[in-house]
Amino acid sequence: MNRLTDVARGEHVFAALLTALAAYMFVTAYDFPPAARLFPQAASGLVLVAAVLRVVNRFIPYEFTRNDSVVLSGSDADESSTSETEDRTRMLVLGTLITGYIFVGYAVGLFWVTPLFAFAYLVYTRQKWWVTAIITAALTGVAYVFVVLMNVDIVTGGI
Amino acid sequence: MADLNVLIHAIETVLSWPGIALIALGVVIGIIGGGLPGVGGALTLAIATPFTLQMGAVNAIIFLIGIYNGVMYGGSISAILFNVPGSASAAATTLEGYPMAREGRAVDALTISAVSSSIGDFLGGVAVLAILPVLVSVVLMFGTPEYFLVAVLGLSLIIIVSEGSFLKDVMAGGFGVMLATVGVAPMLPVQRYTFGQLGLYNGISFVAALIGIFAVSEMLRLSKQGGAISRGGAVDIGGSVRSGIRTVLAKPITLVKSSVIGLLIGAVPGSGGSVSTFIAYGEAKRASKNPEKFGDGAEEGIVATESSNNATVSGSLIPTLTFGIPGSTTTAVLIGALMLHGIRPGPALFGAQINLTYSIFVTLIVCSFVILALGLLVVRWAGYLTTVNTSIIIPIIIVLSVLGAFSLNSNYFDVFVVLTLGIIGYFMESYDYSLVAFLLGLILGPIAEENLSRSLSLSNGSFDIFFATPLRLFLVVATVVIIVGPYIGPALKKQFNSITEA
Repeated sequence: MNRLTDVARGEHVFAALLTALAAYMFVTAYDFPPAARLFPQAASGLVLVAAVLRVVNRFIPYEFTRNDSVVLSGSDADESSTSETEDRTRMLVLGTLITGYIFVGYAVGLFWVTPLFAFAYLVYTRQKWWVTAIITAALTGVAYVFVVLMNVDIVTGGI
Repeated sequence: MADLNVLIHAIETVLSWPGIALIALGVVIGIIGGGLPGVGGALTLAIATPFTLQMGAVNAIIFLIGIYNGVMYGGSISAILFNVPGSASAAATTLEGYPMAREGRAVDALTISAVSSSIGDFLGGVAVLAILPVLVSVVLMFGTPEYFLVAVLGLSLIIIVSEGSFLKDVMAGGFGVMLATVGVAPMLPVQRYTFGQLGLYNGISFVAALIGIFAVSEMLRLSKQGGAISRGGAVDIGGSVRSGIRTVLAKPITLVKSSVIGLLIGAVPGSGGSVSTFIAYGEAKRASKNPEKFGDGAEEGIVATESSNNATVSGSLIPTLTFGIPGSTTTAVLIGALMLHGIRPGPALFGAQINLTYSIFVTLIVCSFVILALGLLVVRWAGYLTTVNTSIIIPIIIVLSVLGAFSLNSNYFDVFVVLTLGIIGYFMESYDYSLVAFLLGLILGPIAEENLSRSLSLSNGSFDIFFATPLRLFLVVATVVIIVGPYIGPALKKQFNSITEA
């Protein structure tokens, strides 16, 4: 039940953010000439109308959906709460590592951070040492290929 | 005669070096990508696209078509061996493939899948090549106003692709169009939502957005799963290649019928392999002399699903290449790859760049032979693919995605787009917002806007231009029917029934 509430809350926050973005784009589009504002306002207006209808739909039921049930995605509903927490932790760790990879890569160059990212994730997921070594070395090789063969400058950062 | 010359030139292009090697490489990569559940076609193509930057446009597209075909076959490997479809379009294959594998006939099932996929590919490619001259004359009838109307028609398909909440899918589609409006407005020197950032002047990179939506969000989801892909019990890789080939060749009607189903349904935007395989499976069961065997390892079931699955590729390329409307998420990525190489789907592909169009469909036919050869070669070792630990796949995909996104324009802005849209895509999928609807908005929004601007400047601002010819009127009516049909149709049917009962 708690999980259902979490999903519903998360979903509401996501829908609210989407609606806020649409409202911002709709209002600021008035700064553009009429020909340039038509599409941004049409798209954001559509999102706003759909969001309003979703709210209204809670009070005046009408079948806008083919399946009204809240979808519990990601894993089976009968999983234990411990397993769910572990799943979520794994996902959050990966999300944090990806964010770190990109931001630190922006600061010092993706080439230097690539092996660190791969090594950190493989160690976190407790892979055998030789698997960790091989994958880390292979991905460093991939980054090197980008530098040498594709002439992409990932050695220097963007700052 | 001109068509024949173009066809011969396309055959030469595809069969010469490095064309044929790129097809083989593409099919191998596709089989691996398709065989890994959670990876699939769109993700494999999205990651491979930046690597094509160094190739010429024709070679790049040949390589990507090879991947697309390989994915369609690869999806059946884990479906047959472990009851886990590698892609949505392989879901129907689990119904008969897994029971066959449990009976110790995994090699039979994998061979049937490889041969049927190959024949489906071949028939689909030949059929589209045959109708291509007609298709060319149809496409050349379309001008700027028609392309605007087709784009709007494509956007209205969000209603058809909607499987969950319609309002959420409208929001997803609208969000796609919203993102597409970032950057300089078409035909006007106006910057929109760029916040003075140079990286936003050309808008959000479509390929970077696709990499984020498919790669990062999918890896976040996969990280929750952990462990090896295989979840089922051990399956003996038993059976024989020869008997598998004989089984397929003994069912020519099922093969042809299922390929036609795949071709036709693939041509309907938003449907794709996941729909066509179940329809072909249902039809094979209906027409079978032994329908009671279905569900317990009926070979006909695999023949039907796999031939229709691969024929879907040819079908889905028709709306993709003619109007830029993606037939599936995988073809949406293919549109991104075309755009990356400066190719815009539409009349140009049927005029000045007709050689590329022919090369694409010749590639499909060549792919059928490559899939047959590689498919039969790997049947006994295919099982190893599904024992790979997801924790090993994840850093590989993420590194390829991030480096690939950076290589698109050599700027970090695209990398941030990958991160942002990866997170957004994860939440969209978690909360049941359609990614297909989002992609339709992202792809068709700019096409619609650009053609609307051009049309209105042709007509001095009058909207009458969209009703001026029977073709345009037809497109308007078709759009209206698609939008209101699902709501008015049942009411009219109810009314009609009550009148007849009275």
